[in-house]
Order: sequence, then C-alpha cells, then structure tokens
Amino acid sequence: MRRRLGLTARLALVALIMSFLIINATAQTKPVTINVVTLANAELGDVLKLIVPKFEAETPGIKVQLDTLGMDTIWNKVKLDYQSGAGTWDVPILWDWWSSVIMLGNNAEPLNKYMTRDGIDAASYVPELLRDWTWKGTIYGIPYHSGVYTMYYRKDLFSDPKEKAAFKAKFSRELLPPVTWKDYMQIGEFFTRPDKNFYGLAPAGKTQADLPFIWMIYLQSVGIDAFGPDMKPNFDNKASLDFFKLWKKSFDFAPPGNIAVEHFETEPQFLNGKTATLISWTPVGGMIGNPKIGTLKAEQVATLRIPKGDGPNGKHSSMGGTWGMTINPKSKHKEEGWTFIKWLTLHERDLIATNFGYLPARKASYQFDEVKDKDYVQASLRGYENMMTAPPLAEYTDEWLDRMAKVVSAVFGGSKTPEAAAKEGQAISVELAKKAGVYKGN
Amino acid sequence: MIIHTGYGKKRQSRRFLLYFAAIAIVLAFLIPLLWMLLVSLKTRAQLYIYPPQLIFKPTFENYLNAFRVVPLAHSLLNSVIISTSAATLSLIFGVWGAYALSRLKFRGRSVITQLILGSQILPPIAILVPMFLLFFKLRLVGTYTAQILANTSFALPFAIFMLMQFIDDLPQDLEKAAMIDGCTRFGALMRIVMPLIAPGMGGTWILALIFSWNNFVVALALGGRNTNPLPMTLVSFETDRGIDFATASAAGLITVIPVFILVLLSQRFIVRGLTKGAVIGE
Amino acid sequence: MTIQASQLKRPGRKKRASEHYTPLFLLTPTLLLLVVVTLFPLVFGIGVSFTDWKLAFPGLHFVGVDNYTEAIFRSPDFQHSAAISMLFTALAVLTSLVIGFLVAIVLSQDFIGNMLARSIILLPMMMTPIVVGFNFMVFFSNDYGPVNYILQQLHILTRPVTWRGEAWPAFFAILASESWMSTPYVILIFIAGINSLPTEPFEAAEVDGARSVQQFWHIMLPLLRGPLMVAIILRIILATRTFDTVYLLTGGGPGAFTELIGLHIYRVGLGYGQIGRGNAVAILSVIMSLVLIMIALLGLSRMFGRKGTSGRSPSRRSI
Repeated sequence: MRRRLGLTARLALVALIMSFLIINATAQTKPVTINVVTLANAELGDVLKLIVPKFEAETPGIKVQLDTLGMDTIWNKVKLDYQSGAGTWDVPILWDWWSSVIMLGNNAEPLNKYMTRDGIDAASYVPELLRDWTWKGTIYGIPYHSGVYTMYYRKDLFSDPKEKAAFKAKFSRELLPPVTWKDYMQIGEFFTRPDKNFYGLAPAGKTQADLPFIWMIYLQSVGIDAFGPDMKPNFDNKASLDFFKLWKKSFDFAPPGNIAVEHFETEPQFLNGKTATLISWTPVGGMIGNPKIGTLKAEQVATLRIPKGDGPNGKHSSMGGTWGMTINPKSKHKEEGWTFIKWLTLHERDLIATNFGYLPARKASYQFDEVKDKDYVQASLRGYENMMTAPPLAEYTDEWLDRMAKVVSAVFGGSKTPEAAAKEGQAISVELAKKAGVYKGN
Repeated sequence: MIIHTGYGKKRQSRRFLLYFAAIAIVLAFLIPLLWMLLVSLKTRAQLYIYPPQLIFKPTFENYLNAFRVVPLAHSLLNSVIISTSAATLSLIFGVWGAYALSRLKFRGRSVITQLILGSQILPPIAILVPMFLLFFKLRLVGTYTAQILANTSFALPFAIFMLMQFIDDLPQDLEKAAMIDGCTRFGALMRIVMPLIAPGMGGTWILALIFSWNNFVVALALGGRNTNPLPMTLVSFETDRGIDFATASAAGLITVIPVFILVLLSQRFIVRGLTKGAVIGE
Repeated sequence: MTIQASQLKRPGRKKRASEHYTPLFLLTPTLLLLVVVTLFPLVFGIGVSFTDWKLAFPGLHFVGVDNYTEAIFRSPDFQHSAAISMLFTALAVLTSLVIGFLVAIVLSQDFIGNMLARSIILLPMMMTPIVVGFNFMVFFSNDYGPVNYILQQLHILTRPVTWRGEAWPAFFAILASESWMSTPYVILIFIAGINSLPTEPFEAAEVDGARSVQQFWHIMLPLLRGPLMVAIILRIILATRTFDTVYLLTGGGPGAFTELIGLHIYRVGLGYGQIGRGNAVAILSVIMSLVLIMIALLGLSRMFGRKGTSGRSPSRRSI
C-alpha cells in the first residue's frame, strides 16, 4: 500500500515537472506584453487604439496592452505608480508640463543610449518639442504629438466688404486680422454685437493651468522673459499690469460668462459662429468643418499667430505642450517598450497625429503634402518660435501652475487688483523657484 | 408616525396638498436629471444653441458612444461587485460592532467607540497614498479584494454609527427575555435585535452601497485595468480636449439605472421593516 | 473547546464566560479592518505630515511642524479655504436639514406612489460626483445652461449672472449642486427616523389640543434627536469632502474664492504632489470638522436638554 502510494506520488511529481516544462516552453514563445498608458481622448487614446493592432501584426514578439485615463487621473495614477516602484506601465505617454517630476525624479529611463544604438537622430525632431523632454543633455522622452496656442479667425467676416467699410469708418484703418494686442482689442470691440449674440473675442478665464501661460506669453510678446537669466522671475512689472488690464478688458468683448470657462468651452463658441476670433490649442484646427462639433465651414476659418506686443520689442510668442513617450525605469520590458516607441515615432505614424489636429514631432513630417496643405499646421509651426512651456521648477511645477492660475483668475474675477496680483505672482514664483533650487537670487 | 389627516373635507384637502407637495418635491429633485437626459439626446452642435432648446431631433448615438469610448459595461459590473460586497460586509460587521458598542459593558468601550466614529471624519484623500502603499505591499493593488476592504473600512464607521442609533432606541426587555429563555447574546442579536432594526439595516446597506459606489479615492488608488469601477471610467471623459457633455451625460444616466433599480427593489423591504418597527414601538 | 466543556458542567458560568468574550468577538472584524486599512495609514499619514515628502520624488526630510505653521500662518490659500469651507459647511448643513426635514415629512406619509417618489428623490445621491459636476457645469453655463435663461424669462434676473465665475453666485452654484447631491442622505435618515416614531405622544398631544407647530417643536424634534445628530454629522463630513463638483464647476475660482477644503487638500496633496503639506492640511481639516460637529452637538443639546429622548415617555405629554 505504502509502495503504491509512493509510486503514485512519484508519477505525479514527474507529471508536475513535465507540465511545468511544457508551460515554460510555451511561455518562451509567448509574446511579451508591454503596458502603455495615455490620455483617453480622440487624438491620443483613440488613435493608439487604432494603430496598436498594426504594430502587433508587424512585431509578432510584442503585444501591447493600452490603458487610457482622464487628464488628472492619468498623472495621479502614474505618480502613485512611480512612488511604489511597481512599474505597472512600461511606456507612459505623458504631458510635458509634468516632465520636471518625470526627469528630475528619475522616473524615466534615459534614452540617449537607445537612440545612438538604433541611429535615431535627436536633430530629426522639432527642437522645441524635444527640449521639454531633455534635462542637462539627457533625453528622457520622445515627443509624440504636440499642440501650440494659435489664433483662429473668421476669414469670411474679415473679407466682407460691408464689415470692412464699417470698420474703416470707425477706426479709420483697414480691417485686417490682428497682429498686435491693440489690433486684437479693436477687433474685439468692433465685432461685439450682444444683440446678435455675436462677440469679437473668446478668452477663457477659469482657474486652470493655461492662465499663467497667457501671462507669460504677453510678457514675452513685449520683450520680457517671465523667467530671466538664472531663472530670475519677472512678474512684478508694468507689462504685467498692462496684461491684466488688457486681458480683463477682453472679457467685455467676449460671450458673457467667459471668465468662468476653460479653453475647451470657448472652442465650441467659435466653431458655432458665436465669436469672430479664438485663441486656443492646435487641435481646434482638426475640429473645423466637423458638422458634429460646429456649424462653421473649413473655408470660413484662417489661422494666425498670437498677437505681439505693440512696442518696438514686440514679438510673437506662444505656448506649447508635447506628449512624450517615456520608459519606466522599473519596467521589466524596456527593450520591447523602446521597440514600440521607435515604431510610433516613424514618419507614417507621426503623420497620423495631424489627422486629429495635433502636430507631428519630427521635422521631416512637415514636408509632406498632407501637412503642408493645412493652414493651421503652418501657423502652429511658426508658433514654435518663442514657444513657452512650463518653467523647470522640478517638483514645484504643478504647484506653480495652480497658484499662478488662481492669481490671474482673481484679477479677472475682480477680487484682486492688477498691482497686488503682479506682486503676488512674483512672490510665488520666487518662493517656488528657490524651493526648487533653480533660482539662487534674493 | 403618520400625521393625522383629520376627517371629511379637511382630510381631502390635506390629501390634495400632500400630493401636490410630493409632486413638487420630486420635480425639484428631477429637473437637473431631466436636463441631463436632454443633453444626452443632443448632438454637440445642438447643445450649443442658445436659448437651450427643449424640442429638437433627438439622437441616441451618445448612448452607443458611451459604451464604445469607455469600458462602461465592464466598469458597471466591477462597481456592482465591489459596492455590494463592501455594503454587505459593512452591514454584517456593522451590526455586530454597533450591538457590542451600544449594549455591552466592557472596559475601553467608550475609547473604542470614539476611535471608530472619529475615523469617519478623516477625508479619504488624506490616507490615499499610505493606503495605496499598504495594499501595494500586500500585492493587492488592482484587485477587487483591496477595493472591497477599503470601501468597507470607509463605510463601516458610519454603518456602526447609524445602527447604534437604532439599537439604542430599542427596549432591552425583549433580548433579556430571550436570554432568560436560554438564548445566547449572539443568538439574541441575530434573532431578536436584527429583525427589529431591519429598517435601519436596509437604510444602512443602501448608504454603504452608495458610499462605495461613488468613492473616487479608493478607485483612484486601488483600481486596476480590469477592476476599475465607474468613477474611474467616468472621470476619463475629462480630457485636455474638453468634456463631451452629451456622451458623459448618457454614461452617467446609464450608470445610475442599476442603483436606482436596487433602491426601488429594496424600498419594499425598507417599508415593510419600517412598519414593523412602528408596531413594536407602540 | 474548554469553554464548551465548562459550559456543559456548570451552566451557571456559561452566561458570564460568553458575556465576557462577546464584545471581543463582535468587534474583531471591525477593529481588524479599521486598524489595518484606516488606522495604520492614518498614523503613517500623520507621520508624513511632519516631513517634506513629495510624491514620486526622491528626498525626504523631517520638518517638524513647519507644514502646519505654513498652512495656518503663511498660506492665504489655506486660510481662505478654511474660512469659506466653514461657511459652506454651515450653510450646507442648514439647507439640507430644512429641505431634508420637509421632504421627509411629506414622503413619510402614506400615499400612492410614495415608494417611487422616495426612490426618485434618492437618485441624486446615487450619481457619481464627477457626473454631477459635468451636469451642473452645463446646467449653470452661460452658453448652454437653462438657469440664466429661465430666471431672465421670469424677470428675476435683469442681466445674465455668471454662475460659475462671479464669487458669490459661484459659491451658491456649488452649494446648490452639492446640496442636491447630498440632501437625499439626510432625507433617508429622516424618513427612517420619522417612521419609527412612536404614535402615543402625538395622540396624547392631540387630546391635549396641541397645535401642529407645537407638536413639531416639543414632541417630534426631541424624539428625532438621534436621526438629527446622524444627519448633521454625515452632512458635515460630506461637505468637507466636496471636491469633484467644485473642481469642475469653478476650478476653485474666481481666484481661490470657492476653493473648498476638500479641493484644497486634493490640490496640495495629489495635484502638487506635496504629500507632507497635503496631509497637514487634511489633519487641520479634520480638526475643523470636529469643531463644527462639537458646535452642532452642543447646539442640539442646548435645544433639547441633555436627555432629549425622554420626550418619549408618556409622562411628558403636557405641552
């Protein structure tokens, strides 16, 4: 009895070992699955969902598991994941305003050695986009899509003889798309017709991260760098007071209630023929002419750069943001992750972005006909010049964006004077730049 | 308690008043939801017409979209699994705990009571990160277990607090009689106390369920790809390209239906329990 | 096993032994869960509030009570947030109690369809807060919301109000949406309370000729002391946690006017990734809630005397 039991046990053991071997053998031929996370929107999440099967077909060894999350959620989830060191996602595709934490917190794999090995030239990317993913010469992310603040206007109205005559009668100059902030305000005043539910401008004033950028854009447009040499903040000056006065005034020429909306709420206003101009992100270009979103037709819209300052130092300025592909240093499949990134950055994939209104990341992509023909792409491309992005305040960048947004919003809402706001913005910037260790001055 | 409605004509006019008030109340609570229903039936272009239209050509595309753009069906199922489990656990543990704290005399009772109830005041957001790290060390992040346990622990103090009120109001004589007849404490709790506080238990269960159903913090910290409950899915409507209000409204309405059915069904149970409680009270 | 054996022998000791272990047995699951899932992270969280720990960023230093002193003395955002939250919480509690009580009285009556009515008014609290936020974003919008349009048609407003952008209207919009979402909890508690009220004190009062108002103040409210307390505490807790609705409706604006404490904790802790400071703010908010709860409970016992439940006894029937 005991012997037979022993025999059965031994047989069972052999069977167990055999099955283990078989499982291991199949596991070796089984493809590696990499986990990718990005934003759940049409341009990123939906596009990737469409093209991932293509990648899997071309690369039999790798399967991609794609997670798409909401804007705030993705960053919170990824931060928690970094903190735990779990490496849940091999390839997080993230927004460059977060890149300080990603790069300075060692939360992304340096990519230089992969790029050199595989002959991917850093110079082939739009430098302004790669810049946000580079820290002291080390590249931590490959730009994927980008968007730039651009000005959209109603071409049909600006060429309407009746409007032209009326404008000339009022301002004794030709009606032309706005080049300077002064033009911008005049056009705002001219087109604002509340009785017809039509307005000249479409600024957005809700407390959110775009607000400090608008401030910085204005400063740069009159020749002041918001963060000077050695990261010295320059917010407490006359230009800032001008900015607050001008931008607060611009809400008089906007649909009522715009001090409480975000940029994505002003976009439908413009796209449904409620405003004559709009300053917003590049992807609006991809939405023009889509009857599901708005009534405006493609031929009614043209694009321009953001207005420049009125003085002699005036120049065009803009802000941008880039989604960058990174590799989690805790990932167990870095090579496979890199293979995926490399595949995504090739020209044909790079171009997909433009179909959804985003801008491609590689310089060469701008030579293709599909891109060259698009008016908004060209305007945005010019926007790369003097392009702002989030200041490198390391782990204090998010705090800076939020607290500065509150200051700007308080002026728009009337609870703070421009003078107090300029002082407070300066104090916040100095405090955080010092805390982050990027500014040493007093 | 039923407000005495008098007799004859006075009674009739009171009836009328009652129905009028009930309809007004229901409408007041429904209007934002009805508006949501309207939004969910509009295209994006229709939504931006001002003044807002009440009559328009409705589209049902948003409802189909809701299932297409986010994993709505899956997260609905996840939410049901997590919330019902958490609510049931909170109810069972809650009744036991509430009974012990409100009926039994033992050393440290008041300290434990205060600790348990005090923990409810803590906003979940304050312990999100440590909680995440704890479950990470237990290798439970992204599992149902983690979310059920966390939701239970968030709902439990309130469940205990609520049930204690009901048990406090109960006369002790019935239990004592049962225990003289040879029933154990636990038996008295299960057979005498629990049936008597059934309305309270029903209400507690629903509250615990809804607490868990809407707990975004637990979902954010402990949800995983296959176990993400509704809050995580719904929040993904918020992107840098704006919020698709129509689809989000459709999704929001779809997700409220299962809870609504649950509440509608358990109302029957609550009402029965309530009348029972009233009879005993007399 | 040993207990069972002794029970068999000496039935007299059975009760005492089991009596001794019952609390332990009944409380074990609760305590275990709370210690592991809440208390441990809480102690950890309190510890973290004395450090400069940043999420996903290396470097951790002990900073003493700096996070607390910074919030209390040097952070205008926190100071304002605490003040506006106190006001918000007080108003939210009042609104919900008054509306909740009136609705509960109507819905606790016996009429056809009251089950459906009760279920419908519970709908708002079943909505995920984020969806409520989306919904009220549209509802209060100047572009496509009905509120301004209706109020202007009714000549209550002469000009459109920016519900999401002007300080007090925004505060009101948040109060309205948050109360819409949370009042059903209060209603549920009151319905349960009203339904388990004994009838004899009311019958007695009727015999004595007391009017409805007197019945309400002198019999009903004291009898509902328990549910009232539950409702107040729950409402304070819910109001302190509000953040998704505010985040979506106003983003805390204009400026930081409507940045309630829940949103402030979320922003500092998770948004900025400054967990140390975020936890300090969270713990301060707990103290704030405690103070509010104490005030409310003190007020309650002032109103009804120390033993409000004694109103139940028939000897108190004279009013």
